[in-house]
Amino acid sequence: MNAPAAGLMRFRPLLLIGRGVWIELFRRKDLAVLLILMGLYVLGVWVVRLVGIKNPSTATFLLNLGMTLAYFCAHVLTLLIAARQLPDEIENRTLYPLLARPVERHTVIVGKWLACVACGAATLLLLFLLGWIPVPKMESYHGVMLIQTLVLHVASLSVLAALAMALSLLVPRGVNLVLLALWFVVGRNVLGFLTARFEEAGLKEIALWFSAYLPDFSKLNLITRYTDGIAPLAGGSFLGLLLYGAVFSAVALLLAAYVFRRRPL
Amino acid sequence: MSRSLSRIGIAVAVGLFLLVPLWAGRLRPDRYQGGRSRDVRDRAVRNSSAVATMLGEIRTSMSDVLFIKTERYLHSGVSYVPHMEEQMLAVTSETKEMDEHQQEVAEGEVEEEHEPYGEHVAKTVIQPKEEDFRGFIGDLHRKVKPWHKPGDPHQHTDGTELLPWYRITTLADPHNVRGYTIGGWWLKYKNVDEAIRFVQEGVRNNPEAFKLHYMLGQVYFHKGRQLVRAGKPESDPGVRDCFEKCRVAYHKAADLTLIQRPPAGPEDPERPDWTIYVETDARAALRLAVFTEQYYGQPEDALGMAKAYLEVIPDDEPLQRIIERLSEPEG
Repeated sequence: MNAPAAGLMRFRPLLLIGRGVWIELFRRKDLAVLLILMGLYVLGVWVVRLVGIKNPSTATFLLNLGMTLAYFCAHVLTLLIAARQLPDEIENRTLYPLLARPVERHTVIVGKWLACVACGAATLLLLFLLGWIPVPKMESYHGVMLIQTLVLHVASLSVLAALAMALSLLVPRGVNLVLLALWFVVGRNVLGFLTARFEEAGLKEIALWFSAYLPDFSKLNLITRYTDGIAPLAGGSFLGLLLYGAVFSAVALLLAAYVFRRRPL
Repeated sequence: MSRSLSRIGIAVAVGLFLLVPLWAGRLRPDRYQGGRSRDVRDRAVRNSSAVATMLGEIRTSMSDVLFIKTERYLHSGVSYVPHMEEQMLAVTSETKEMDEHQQEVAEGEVEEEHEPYGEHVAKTVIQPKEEDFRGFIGDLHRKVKPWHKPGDPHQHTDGTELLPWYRITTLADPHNVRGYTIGGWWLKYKNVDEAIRFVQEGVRNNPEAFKLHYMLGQVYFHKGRQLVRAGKPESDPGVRDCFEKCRVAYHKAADLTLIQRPPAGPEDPERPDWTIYVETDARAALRLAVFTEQYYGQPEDALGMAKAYLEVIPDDEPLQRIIERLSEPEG
């Protein structure tokens, strides 16, 4: 077998594992529900356009609303998909034939994670188009900022998917979903509340240090920066944020691989 | 080979993760100046649009909802239709108005009456009987909920109940400058050291916001005056420290104002974010920088500062009067 073909063969297990995730995405109703929700938003935008959008700030508000809705819906879908991958495979005992192929356990983790991120990214793109296209652009926005926003959203999806998979091996599904959903939505505010409790300088510094080990999803959400018409991030900042997402994803996946390897099936 | 590469990769990832508190804190993409979402006029326009009417309460951002909460608690639960006159959009105008009210409160009563804002009668969310088609249901509503006749003077609380809302506002949005400025203003009457810490937190989160440095100066000044009223001489180190920090804060506010103010001020079409309200606060910062330099810094530098500022805002009459006074020969 020649080298390129051999290289492709190495990724075949990942593709096979990922295929299953994609099939499940279309089989389940989650995507359909989110599309209906987004459809309601699109309907609302068209009604507003019929009434007439007189103020650019109103159009900007609608744009922000649509993009935020797409952002949240894509993350909700990714969370739902990722949180059930491993528990479902274990419960349904479909993991054994997969591992018997042979496919290593960490390959299963990475394959499923990649597929969850791909599903989330595709959903994000679709919902983003639904949220962005219908709204009239009555103020100026940076195209590069938009691209940075979307790329960082994918990074955010990857962190959430990795965390969901790691936690799915440690806590029950319901706890996993609620914990991560709450953290995703209000995690930054909760951290703010907690660190604000410490008044002494030393304790506060310690609290701030350890709080940095919890992922802050708001760092990867630049929608408001985009709709505020602010210039794109400098290259260093953008790469730093990508690295931020990559590091948290990697650590969560390492945790998942570690727990999965030691877990009896 | 691939195994050692993956081990290296794992080590790098774990190493970067352990050092996250050092490098991730510098990544603050939400830290920027201006922005349409933070513009007061844009918000007012948004909230008055047909979209806002259709979406109802949903249209207001979280910070607007929290602002409405503070208004409600200030009025002892009575829901008024937002009735702030436009000049109140400036920190200086709003705190001046509240200062007058707080003088009344300090004379003994928790709730004091005062006149409605301006010439307009502020309407209540629950309509009065003569405008309410609901009959006995409306009567019941007016009895069950806190309600005042729109034409009657408002009754304000002493502000204690507003404080948690300002704290929540700033925790939900650390870039809500108004939350820090007005919250800090209210807090200084209850615990001035806590107010200083609160406004300093606002300065850390928004180092370029001149209004926050201005409010920090206000709070330090308040603390200094409190110590003097308590019997400490002005030469006391604690008192001098307060006024020195006040001077430094006003200077910082003035420096930021000079950097950020467009040459034409609020008339500049390229800078719609620099409204007349921002200009009001900016001028106050410049005047107070001169004032504090005169009384707590180097009086000989105060005249030079005033003249330099007057070149930027040549039509500012208070600065002109300060220059005239400083230029008078002593004795």
